[in-house]
Amino acid sequence: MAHTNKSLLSSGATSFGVSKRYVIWLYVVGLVLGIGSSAGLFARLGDVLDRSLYSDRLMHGFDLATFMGLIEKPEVSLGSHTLISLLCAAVFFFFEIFLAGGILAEYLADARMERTQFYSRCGENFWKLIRIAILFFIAAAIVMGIVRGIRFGIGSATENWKNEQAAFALQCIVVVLEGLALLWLRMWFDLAQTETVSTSARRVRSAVGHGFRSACRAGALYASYLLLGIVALAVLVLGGWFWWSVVPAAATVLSFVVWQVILFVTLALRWWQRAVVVAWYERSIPVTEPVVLHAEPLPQTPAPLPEMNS
Amino acid sequence: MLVVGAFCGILSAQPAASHAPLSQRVVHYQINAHYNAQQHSLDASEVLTYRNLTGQPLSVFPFHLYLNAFQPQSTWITEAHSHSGQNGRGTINDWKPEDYGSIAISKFEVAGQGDLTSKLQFVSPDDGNPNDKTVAQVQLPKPLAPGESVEFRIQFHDQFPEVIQRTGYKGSFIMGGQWFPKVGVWWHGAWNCHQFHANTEFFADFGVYDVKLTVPANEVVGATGLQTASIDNPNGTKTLTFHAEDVHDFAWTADPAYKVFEDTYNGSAGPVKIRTLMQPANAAQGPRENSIVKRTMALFDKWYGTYPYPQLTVVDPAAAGAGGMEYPTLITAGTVWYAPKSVLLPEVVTEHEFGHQYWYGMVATNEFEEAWLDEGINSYTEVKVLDALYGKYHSVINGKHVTLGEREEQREGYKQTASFDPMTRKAWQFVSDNSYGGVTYGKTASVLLTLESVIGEETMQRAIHTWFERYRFTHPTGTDFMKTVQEVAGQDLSWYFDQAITGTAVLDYEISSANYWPVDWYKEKHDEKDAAFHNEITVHRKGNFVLPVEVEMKFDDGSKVREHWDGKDRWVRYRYDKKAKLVSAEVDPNHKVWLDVDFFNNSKRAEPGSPAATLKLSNYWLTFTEFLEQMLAWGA
Repeated sequence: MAHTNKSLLSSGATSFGVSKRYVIWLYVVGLVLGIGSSAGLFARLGDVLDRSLYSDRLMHGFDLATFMGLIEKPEVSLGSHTLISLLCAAVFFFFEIFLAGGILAEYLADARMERTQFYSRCGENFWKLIRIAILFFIAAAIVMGIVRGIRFGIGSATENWKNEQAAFALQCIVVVLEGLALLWLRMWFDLAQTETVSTSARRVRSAVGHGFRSACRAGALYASYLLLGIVALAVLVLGGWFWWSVVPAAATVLSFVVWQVILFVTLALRWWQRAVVVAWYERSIPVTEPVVLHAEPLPQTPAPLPEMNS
Repeated sequence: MLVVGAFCGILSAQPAASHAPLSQRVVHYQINAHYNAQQHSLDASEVLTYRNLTGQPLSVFPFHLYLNAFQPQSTWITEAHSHSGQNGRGTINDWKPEDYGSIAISKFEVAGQGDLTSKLQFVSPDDGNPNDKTVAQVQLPKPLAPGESVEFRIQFHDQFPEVIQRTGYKGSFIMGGQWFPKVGVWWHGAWNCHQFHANTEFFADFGVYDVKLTVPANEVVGATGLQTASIDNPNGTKTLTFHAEDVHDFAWTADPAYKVFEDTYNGSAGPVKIRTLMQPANAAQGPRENSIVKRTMALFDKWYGTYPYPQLTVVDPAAAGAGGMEYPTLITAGTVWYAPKSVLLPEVVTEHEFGHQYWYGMVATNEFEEAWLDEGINSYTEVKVLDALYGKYHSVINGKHVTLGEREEQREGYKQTASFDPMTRKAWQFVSDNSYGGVTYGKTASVLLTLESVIGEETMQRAIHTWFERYRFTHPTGTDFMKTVQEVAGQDLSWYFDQAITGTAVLDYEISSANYWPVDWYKEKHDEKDAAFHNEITVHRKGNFVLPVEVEMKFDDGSKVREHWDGKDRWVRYRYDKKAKLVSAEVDPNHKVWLDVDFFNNSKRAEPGSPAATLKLSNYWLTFTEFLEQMLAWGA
């Protein structure tokens, strides 16, 4: 149920809270995949670094030339590990899409679902959400292509500007606009996903179309989206700054903790955004097909009729 | 040979500021040039007085016409396009009309011998390319007798390209480099006048330059030498007069937008005016440029010799492609307005270009044929200066989580191409751009840093100082350099030079094994308290380069043993029986051998040490992978 007397952010937060365990799962799976991708590298690095005194130059600080020397060694082979990392990212991508169907259904229900029911919703929406993701990537590629063209044009036009800062600022503005456009695009397809899960519609194209129309009139939703996006960016920048300035170069555990906190918060903010979309959707669009929930059982005996005054 | 004062007064039109010549002054260029800022072109008349000090009659004179390199079928463009370095294509991928540059001689007269314009012929002494027009030569009807002078009167037209190979225009900015017909050098009994190649720089005779440059009145101009006059013309232009002595080239730049920062360095030869022309966007970096120039000048003055010129002009070009270049008394820098203080690349570039004032500018070796004598020695002195100013391992990047030293950067450059070309290869004959850069700059610097471990750092400094003092204003060779070092060091170093300079041997030592085991290993129970151990270390010379090295063993009772190995055999084994276990063994424990291509295998712990570095890097990789996951999942 939508919390109509609450702000969108607040309603989204409530829904997010209901399903936060799945976001924690996502984070854990991401971490495990990351550890998996690093394990092979750990073994290969260990063969070189644990035996060589030269590794001290990577421990107390980070000497770039030493690192270059390390990755140039054929036994380290960073290229193959990059491939493994990409593979892990792809696995995570599909896992998140898989869970998205269930999590969105929970957001729509505003209540925890039984495990079987949750996974049933995950399964029935999986391919539909994949198709939406493909459409999203196409749309995003078009937007990025257009922006790239604009940036190239601006680059050519400002090539001979003496005020390089102004030219840089102009490029920055275009990048910000690109970010805003992509955020809007993300909101559009999040709305499409929500509608798909909500209505159990089979045709994703109509959901994408409805999503577009909804996104065009979702000013308040976009404001909430933007706010959460800015918070995520701030977490990333401030967290990165904290790591760079405060965390000692040799403090690996602290470095790990700082980056994991940053990664968890950014992931949580993304799912908060999705919960906000659901909240907006419920307020704005009547649910045509109620979500089947594990509802409270009906009372076995009829309630006593109110006494009639004679 | 340096002939000081012998020819003083032969050149007639010396301004009052002239002093005793520092060089032979073979040439005297008088150029009157008019720059058209709209067309990026220039019309000029040049009077070149050439003095025949060769001891023999000369009837053929070759001239460099460098700007003709920027034409589609020239040798320069062909090489720049086709050089397949290890990282792929060369520096020019697509031909653009703006890349076109040319220098056309409309009139070529020789005083007393008439108009010889029709006698000028393009020649291609290096590759026979009939489409290359970067060298032209003329046969004089009457040979020039030894000791006599000849006057060439040349009218020419330049069309500058959009900035390419450190010359040309970009918007209102213009860098006039290699822009006038320049006579070749009579060197070792023949003319030395090579075509312009993708990897070559320049070689010219010392002399005097008097240049009048007419530009739009709003231009801020910088040039080689000193500005001696400025006249405003009624047509909205101004004519600036420059005078330079004992230099072998003349470059200039103009841009109405330049912001000028002036400073003075009080050196051992008197005050030197530093005139820095900054792009407005980078104006805040002006003091940073002046600071590194002054600090570098102080160290060069102290270590190698005096800077004898009254001015140095530092140019911040509008195009990166014009940055990082040296001309006599004028250098181009490389900075950006957002350059953080912890990234010292602006300092590295400016220091490097100033260093050229000594090696390219004054010692003036042949950059076509022995580029390492300029770029390489300059890279070595760059390392020494930056080490002294910022520290060995922080002189390029000095961040908390990332550091990089210039000596490391130089070594990284050469490691990739260590076995391809000797340092003595002619610049255009290297296997690739990467090999040219890696060997000429990085290997030379690493060779000289490693040489310090053989003859000592202080001796090395004296050798470079002697090289400069003895050969400045001459055109010495690599053989002269090697002789100088051996003379100062008082030892025969041919075994080293044969491998490092004229050879391609790769230096790589490793500790191939470092083990210990109880002396009474065959017993079932060992006496832990008073146990003795066999300690055994094998050092392997993996590469072909033979260099005596030190090997240090550390034991768990805190003791150390140092051995000296001549490196002649392929391997050596050290055994120690003692009541201590081996902790580690290391070749070159003082880290002096910068030619070694793999520092990781120079040491080995007997037992695996702390995995702290492995954990740290694995953590970075984990974080990278998780970011990748979240970025991709944003599309989910």
